[in-house]
Amino acid sequence: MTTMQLPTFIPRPALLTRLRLLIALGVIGTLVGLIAAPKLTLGGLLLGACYSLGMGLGAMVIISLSYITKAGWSTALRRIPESMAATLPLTCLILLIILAAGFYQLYPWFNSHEHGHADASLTLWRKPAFFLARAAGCMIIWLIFSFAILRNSRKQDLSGDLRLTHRNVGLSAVFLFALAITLSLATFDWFMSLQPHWISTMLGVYHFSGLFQSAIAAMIVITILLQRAGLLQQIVKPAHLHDLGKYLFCFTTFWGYIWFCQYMLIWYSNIPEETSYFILRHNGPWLAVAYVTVAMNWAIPFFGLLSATTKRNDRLLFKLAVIVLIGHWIDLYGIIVPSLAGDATMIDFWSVLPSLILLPIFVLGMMRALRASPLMPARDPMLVESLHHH
Amino acid sequence: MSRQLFTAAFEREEDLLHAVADLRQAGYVFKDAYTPYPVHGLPEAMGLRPSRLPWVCFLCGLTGGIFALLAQLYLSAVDWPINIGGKPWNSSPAFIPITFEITVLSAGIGSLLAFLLRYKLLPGRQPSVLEEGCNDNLFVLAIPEHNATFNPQELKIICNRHHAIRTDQRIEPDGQTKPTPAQQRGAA
Repeated sequence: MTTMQLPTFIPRPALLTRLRLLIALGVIGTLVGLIAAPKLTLGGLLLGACYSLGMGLGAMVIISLSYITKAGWSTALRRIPESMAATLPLTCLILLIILAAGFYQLYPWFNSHEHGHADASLTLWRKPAFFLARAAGCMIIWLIFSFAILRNSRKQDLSGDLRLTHRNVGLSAVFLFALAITLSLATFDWFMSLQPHWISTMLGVYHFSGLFQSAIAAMIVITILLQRAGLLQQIVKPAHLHDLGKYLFCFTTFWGYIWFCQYMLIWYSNIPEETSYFILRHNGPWLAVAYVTVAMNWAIPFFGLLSATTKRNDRLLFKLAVIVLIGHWIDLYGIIVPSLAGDATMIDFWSVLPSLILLPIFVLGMMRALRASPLMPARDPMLVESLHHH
Repeated sequence: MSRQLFTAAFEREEDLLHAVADLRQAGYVFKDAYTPYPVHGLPEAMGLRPSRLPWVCFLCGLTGGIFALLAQLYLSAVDWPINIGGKPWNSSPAFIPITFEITVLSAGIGSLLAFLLRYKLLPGRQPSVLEEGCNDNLFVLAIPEHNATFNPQELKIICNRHHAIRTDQRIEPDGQTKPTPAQQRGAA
């Protein structure tokens, strides 16, 4: 194994130029937007940052799951989610800045007293400083685990120490528990409170299902692109694509299940503080967004991935994964923007522009991380099983 | 018509896979392989056509799902409308969980029944053990006489080269001369 030539990833200069051009366009658009429609543009910044953050967190979930299940098939591809997770410090910092800068525009509940009582704990909970402290606390927890797991994985490249794998198994288990709690809290704070009178205890798991599904889709897209660039020729076989396809299919079903669970519980109980979310989103221009979301995140990938032939065909799998990636962006758009735009007469475009900055930044960060490490965890004890996977 | 049947028992998965590859190169077709657990890559190595069971599963699920949805629509909205909690008669979101369950149930039962019927694994069937240990820990390969090139000596040499622990030759009794579905698919 050690004699095998390890490929390294070097991005094409033209790609880098294009991404930087997109960022420049996005910056101009966002600056104009911040003057013309500040609230929606800030919402767009939140959307772009949360999309990138979701990629990193979803990648951490992929890594953690493969550690705690001792999965063999995915080991050879682990550097791909690792490179996505390596962007977490950057995306967390960007998101924290956006939350701090946009707090008063996005979350007007900080000084509302319409219920006539302001008990001490609620006042504290609504304090901007405490809001940011909660966000920072969640982020610190995510960063500690991602640093530790990624560092152990890189250390193993040199030492081949089996104890590093055991250590990562333990870290992964704790991370998944910690993520379940912190991501729910973060989702309630960042997304649910955009519409302060609305409650849904399922929004956290709904957000999780979307970000995990899209991280799997991103892993598929990156794997196939690297394979086409000739870097994973020796490694990725149809069996690996088949497994990635099954992974995506599984969590496409999960997303559809969670979407429907949230919808049906709210529809069934029919309580005003819960239905307000769907009444807003199933009327006017937002209805189209709702339909497109369900089509792109569930209907198209679900029926597309049913057959084993599609899962093993890199071109079809690639297309379906791209549909899921776009679908997840539209999903987040449908969560965030209608709350800010209200009963708009048309779909808002100011909130689209900031993604032109934030998504290329994520891609650049990910490519940088991919470049900085060998494309395979060469001395991982599970690697041989992964390479002989069929 | 009776035919010869050659069987070889292996102790390891890799031996079986290597023997299958060599035998196939030598032009033999396979009746079936009996393994303690599903061996990845074995159907491809044996040259079997992909199973059609997924299609049965899909069609059963589709039929079950459509039936469940239409039945609930007809029962709750047409035949015997009941006002439940002020919801409209055609409350399709409430029908979805049942539709989902019946889709899964009919897909599962449908594929199981299709499998049992196709392999005639019905109650009252006489158990037939091809080779001692083939339903235990051994990997057993069964190769039928299919044309004039069938050569038990050569078969034995190839299988022994891959550490077969036992090889055997027998005449298939008349009742069992019908080719198995796997064999039919392999021959196609």
